[in-house]
Amino acid sequence: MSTDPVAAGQAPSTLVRVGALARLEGGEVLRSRWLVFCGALYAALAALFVVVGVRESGVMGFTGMPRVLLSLSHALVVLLPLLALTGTGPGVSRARRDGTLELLFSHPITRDDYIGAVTLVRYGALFLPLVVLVSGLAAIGATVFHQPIPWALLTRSLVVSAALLWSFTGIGLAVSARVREPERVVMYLLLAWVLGVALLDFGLVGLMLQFDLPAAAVFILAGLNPVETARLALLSGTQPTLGTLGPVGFFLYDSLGPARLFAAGVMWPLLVGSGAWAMARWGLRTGDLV
Amino acid sequence: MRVELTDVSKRFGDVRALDEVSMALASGDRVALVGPNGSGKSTLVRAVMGIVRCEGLVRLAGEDPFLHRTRLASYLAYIPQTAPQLGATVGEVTRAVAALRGLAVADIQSTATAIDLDLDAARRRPVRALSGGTKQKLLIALALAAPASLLIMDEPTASLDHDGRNAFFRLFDERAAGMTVLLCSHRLDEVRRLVDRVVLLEGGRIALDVPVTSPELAERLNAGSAWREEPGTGGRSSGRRVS
Repeated sequence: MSTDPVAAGQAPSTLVRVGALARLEGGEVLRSRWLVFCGALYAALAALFVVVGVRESGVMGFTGMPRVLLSLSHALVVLLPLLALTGTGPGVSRARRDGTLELLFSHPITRDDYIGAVTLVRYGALFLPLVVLVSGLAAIGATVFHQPIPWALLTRSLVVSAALLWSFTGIGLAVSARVREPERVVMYLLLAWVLGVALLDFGLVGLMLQFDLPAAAVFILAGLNPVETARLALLSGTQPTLGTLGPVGFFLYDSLGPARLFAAGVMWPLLVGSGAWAMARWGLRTGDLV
Repeated sequence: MRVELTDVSKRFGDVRALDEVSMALASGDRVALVGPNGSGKSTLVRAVMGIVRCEGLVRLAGEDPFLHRTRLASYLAYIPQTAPQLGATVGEVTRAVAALRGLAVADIQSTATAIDLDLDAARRRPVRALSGGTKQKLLIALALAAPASLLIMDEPTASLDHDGRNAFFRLFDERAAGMTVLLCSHRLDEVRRLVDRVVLLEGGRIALDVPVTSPELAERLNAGSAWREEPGTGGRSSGRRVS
């Protein structure tokens, strides 16, 4: 070889490569409509819950700012999967289609550098605004409404949201890395969200009554759904009733207790997300890049 | 860098993009891949770059580019035909490529200047907002700024005007000396100007592999079925294209 950049000591370290790719991906995300939509949705939800929530009416024993946070977090349990799927799903698939991957992989980067940078940026773009939102709400409650900051609930909300976002970020990347046709990508992403929302035990109990679904199937389907386990983790710190948790949740709460239910409710979405992310990584490592 | 392909085949579903293609480029060879759309040129280039997995043997300097792509990419310069629709700005892309290649941004800037592209003026603009010609010049600057042993180009002057094309040819003469060159092109002026040998692909197979001066190639050109006149191209080149 006439020129040897590697021998000349020009080969960049992993940190430099991932950093360079992350800045590029960050440029993409910052200028995409998706981030604007995501931020606007967070802000609208926060405003809505502040306007209707900071009153002395109670939800599950919570009033004021804790009530706002709990209601917001509960709404986010359903919305975060959709945001994560729409934010990560098209990423790799579009880059493959429009020639970005071909251009990037003509440079000395590894497939792991790329998926690592995309994951960091997309996950960060979903989670950091949420941290700002929840912390901002607590700060507003403390300064404007003179209410104590509900640290325990705030931390619980952020931990559960982080786990749920990771779960669906992994699923979105797996679909994006393994499915080529854009129409099929959208179909699989929607299917993942619909399943996550539909397989909550309230819906499943309805199905059980309607179609004689075995009770064991209801328990298994609900227990395997990361949206359900995240919801249970969020509510495990309250004084839940059968009506708020649903039959599966109430049974698990009764069997495991609040601490274990919280741990399981956070760990399961993390596991699902990690498994899906590993599939995305494997798809990129073994398949064609264009 | 030596490039070898032995019985290389690639299928996309029912479509056979490459069918037992064998060819070799010695270090410093300059070869054009020509042929109609869907003849397998892009797939062959991607196989050489190690971004698609093929049956058969592909070797760059004796190594499998699919398995050792990251290391081999350090020796590769690639100019794609079209720029991706990046939302990232020219400045961000330039800094990223400089970091990945261990270059100073000034190296890319000087290469851009050589092809009449003012990187400073375009720095804050998203790549997708640039004109076709400016995008093409950016891709050329990014590729030719780094030292390389293998230069792969896919229609590098397709979006350039006459002056831009001449600037590219000058830059090519300056930077590509000693490199192995693989060119995909439909443009006869590019082929004649940049390479010594032409490989004609048809239906994923090699139909012709001859020097660019070969009478057999001229016969194909004159037959008119595979080549046609491209209107509006000036200069000393013929401007004819492979259809």
